[in-house]
Amino acid sequence: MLQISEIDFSYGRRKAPVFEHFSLHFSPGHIYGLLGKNGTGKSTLLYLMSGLLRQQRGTVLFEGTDVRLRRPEVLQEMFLVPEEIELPHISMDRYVQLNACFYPRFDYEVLMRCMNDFDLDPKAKLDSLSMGQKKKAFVCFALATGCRLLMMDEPTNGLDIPSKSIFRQMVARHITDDRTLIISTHQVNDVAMLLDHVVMIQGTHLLLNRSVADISAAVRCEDRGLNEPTDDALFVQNTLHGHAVVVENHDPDDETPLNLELLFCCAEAGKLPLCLTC
Amino acid sequence: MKNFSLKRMAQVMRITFCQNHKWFLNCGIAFLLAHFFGQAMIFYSVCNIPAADDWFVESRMHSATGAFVMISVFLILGGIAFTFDVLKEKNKRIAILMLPASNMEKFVARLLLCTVGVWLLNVVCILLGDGLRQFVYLWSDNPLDSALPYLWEFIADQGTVFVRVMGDSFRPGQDPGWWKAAFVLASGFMTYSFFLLGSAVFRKQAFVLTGLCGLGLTLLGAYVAGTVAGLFEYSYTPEQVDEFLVNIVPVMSISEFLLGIGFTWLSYRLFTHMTVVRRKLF
Repeated sequence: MLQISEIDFSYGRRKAPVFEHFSLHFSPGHIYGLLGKNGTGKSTLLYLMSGLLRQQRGTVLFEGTDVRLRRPEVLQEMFLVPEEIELPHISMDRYVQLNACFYPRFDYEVLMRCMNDFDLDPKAKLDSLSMGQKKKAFVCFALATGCRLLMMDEPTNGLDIPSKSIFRQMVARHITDDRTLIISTHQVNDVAMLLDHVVMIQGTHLLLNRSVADISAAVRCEDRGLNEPTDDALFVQNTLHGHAVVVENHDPDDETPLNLELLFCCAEAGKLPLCLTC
Repeated sequence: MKNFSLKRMAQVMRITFCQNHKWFLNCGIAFLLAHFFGQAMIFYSVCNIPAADDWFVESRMHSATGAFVMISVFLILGGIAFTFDVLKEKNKRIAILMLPASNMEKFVARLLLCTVGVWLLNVVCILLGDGLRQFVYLWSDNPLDSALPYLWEFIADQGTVFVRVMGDSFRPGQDPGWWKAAFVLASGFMTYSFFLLGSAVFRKQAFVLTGLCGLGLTLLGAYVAGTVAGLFEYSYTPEQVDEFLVNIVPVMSISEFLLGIGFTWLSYRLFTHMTVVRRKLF
């Protein structure tokens, strides 16, 4: 669906490169988690993928078309929910009236259901909503567009606790086999259950690019007591009650839920098993 | 899919207008105030003279016409300089650039709104400004006629007046020729597209910054022209210089027209290459 090939990107001639010889492929039917420390280029990557930034070298192709051209047939298949949203002084109804015609598979019922789930009033003026409500409204619109590639930058930022759960249910309900969702976030626990593929970025390159199934088959995340041994651990993190550890999984049928925070720290420390490294 | 569809462009215009109606409203108010105060100041002296004769009133009417034109030129250039103003904010840039329409559709839609839209707004504000001025003066016991017939006369009479004014500054006392008209139009087009380019380059404070750049370039051009002319000061007779000036009009007209096209193309190119975060050159 989306192919990033050997791109180089920096924000200026004398600035440090954000990406160097960076390649990545996104397939349909997956929910990708894009993880990385602050300033590693997660948002930059989303912008490059949507043609909002132009790489100095390499290509970003959406089904064979260069996204930098910003062709309507490409733009109607991709939707970006940015971290900060500014909406015009009109109601959601009016917003839909004006914008929906650009998306051939726009589903008004999906929109209404999502708005209802989030308890949003379609008649309310969008610019008067709080930041969290704006995000909810925009996420609803994004899901209703029927775009095959959805990109969300910190979608759970500003959402209250119940809304995070509703968000997860909503996404799980509407991401079908022909759609791809890429979530860039620091709030890994908010979306961990949704993801079926994890992409971690460090420096100018990929740190990890594996499906959750592959990761779970290769490593286990466990909590151990203070007196339990950690000699077999690939990575150990102290917790209030003992240690959180990442160990190699020798029994692929016995998988533990992924602790993405722990996995991220493990990957960052370079302690991932060889079968997972890029 | 076609890269340019009239239907899609119309929809982009509709969105742009609906989502920025406050801006247009503010513009309308500013235009109205500019025309109203322009008129009010010009006719103020008439009210201060107890028995102003017809000649004096008529001269004020002509001044009012001039004010309408000057303010309009100023506002229309301001309008074009605002073409890409909305793109100065990151979120709005994302919204506009991600809208599923081609670059050309978005560019033309914005251009039309900031040209035809601003012209129309200006015409409405001229009518309202004149009406408001009449009403205020009537209310303060100084009834004065509308200046609009004079403006209409100016416009209708003078596809040539404007040309003659400009042409006269070129060769006093000469009848404006076809090339002079072309020169005036080309100058207007070039200035217009220069402000469009300024809007694409600066986005923020584009009108002021482009105006300053234009002033700087004009002064530089005048200096260069003066210096070059100085080199040949004693080589040619005044008649030869006059002839040269006449002959150079077509060249300048064509050059300005080409420059105008170049500026417009460059503005479009900058728009197509516009990114959500600007790369720093230094």
